[in-house]
Amino acid sequence: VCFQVPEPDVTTALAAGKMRADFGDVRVFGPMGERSRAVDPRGAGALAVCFRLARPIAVGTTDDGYSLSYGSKALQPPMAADAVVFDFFDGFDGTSLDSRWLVQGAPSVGGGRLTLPKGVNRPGITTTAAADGIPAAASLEIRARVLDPSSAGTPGGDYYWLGFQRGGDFVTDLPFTVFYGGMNTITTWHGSVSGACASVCEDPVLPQSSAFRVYRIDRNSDGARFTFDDGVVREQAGPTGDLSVMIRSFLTKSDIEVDWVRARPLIWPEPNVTLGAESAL
Amino acid sequence: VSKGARAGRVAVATLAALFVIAAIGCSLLTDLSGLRTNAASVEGGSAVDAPNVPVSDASDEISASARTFTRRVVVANLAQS
Repeated sequence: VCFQVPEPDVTTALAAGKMRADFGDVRVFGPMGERSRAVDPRGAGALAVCFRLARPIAVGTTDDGYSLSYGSKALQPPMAADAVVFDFFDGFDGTSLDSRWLVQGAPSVGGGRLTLPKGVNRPGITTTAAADGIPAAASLEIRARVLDPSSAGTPGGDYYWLGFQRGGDFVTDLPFTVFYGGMNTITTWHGSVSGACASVCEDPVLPQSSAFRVYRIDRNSDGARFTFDDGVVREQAGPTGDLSVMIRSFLTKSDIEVDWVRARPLIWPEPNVTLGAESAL
Repeated sequence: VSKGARAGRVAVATLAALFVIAAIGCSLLTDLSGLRTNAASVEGGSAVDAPNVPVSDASDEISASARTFTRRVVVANLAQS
């Protein structure tokens, strides 16, 4: 499950010296001890926390056996365990691209990031859907930034794609469920071979910046939900199927950097997580 | 110097030595605890490798020092049978 510690709470804890600025002291405990957790700050000052449940929760019931902990030096260091928490994770922390990816052009890995270089080679990476371990009902998140969002795209109209597309190739064709870049803009594209959105459903067009943004796409048999920096921007009916992860740039004058990619099975409706009041030990 | 005063000095010296030994012991235990935390994370009862961050990185940033703060996390399964 994933939840957020809201911005006012995080700001207050930081100001009071209760929480480390790098959030390395933020830990999750469950009924059988500490849980591996993934923690990442969000643009507005909130803190996103994800962990795996220690035990099943029956339909319509709650489990209050978990806690969030922070502030103790004795609990150092953090347990950076994204690969444990998520079924699919790549933080691009090595010196070369993991073999799970199919490659187009000349993407590079370094400094904990993937770079899709500007130019005319249309660089990209994609998975083979059937083998990537991401189920048909899944939540995909990509943290990435466009260094110059005013860059032109490749002649023909494409700028960059972040999301799901086809299966195991770089042909720009249906079906797809992606965040679709434009010049200084970002929108969502949901396209099927037939039926609803047989060509493409596109909406809304939002302003883009050079900051890192988190692009999230939830997909299941009912449709897709697009979340941009923690705000839901579109819910589109119509199944996406088990498409491949696609990260691709057509920008001629700007690199695109990707910090991480992660995915997990999507349970719908998602479990609701409630945070209790803070107490000091 | 009376025997009583001498005995008192010995007792104070002994207590001081014990405090020093205890402090060293606590420090060692803390260090060992940190090392243990460094070594692995726990997931479902099995050890999972985790990045090894120097303990020194963690110190001096939290003015509340040794205090730990907790918040209960309640997870609700909203699915309907």
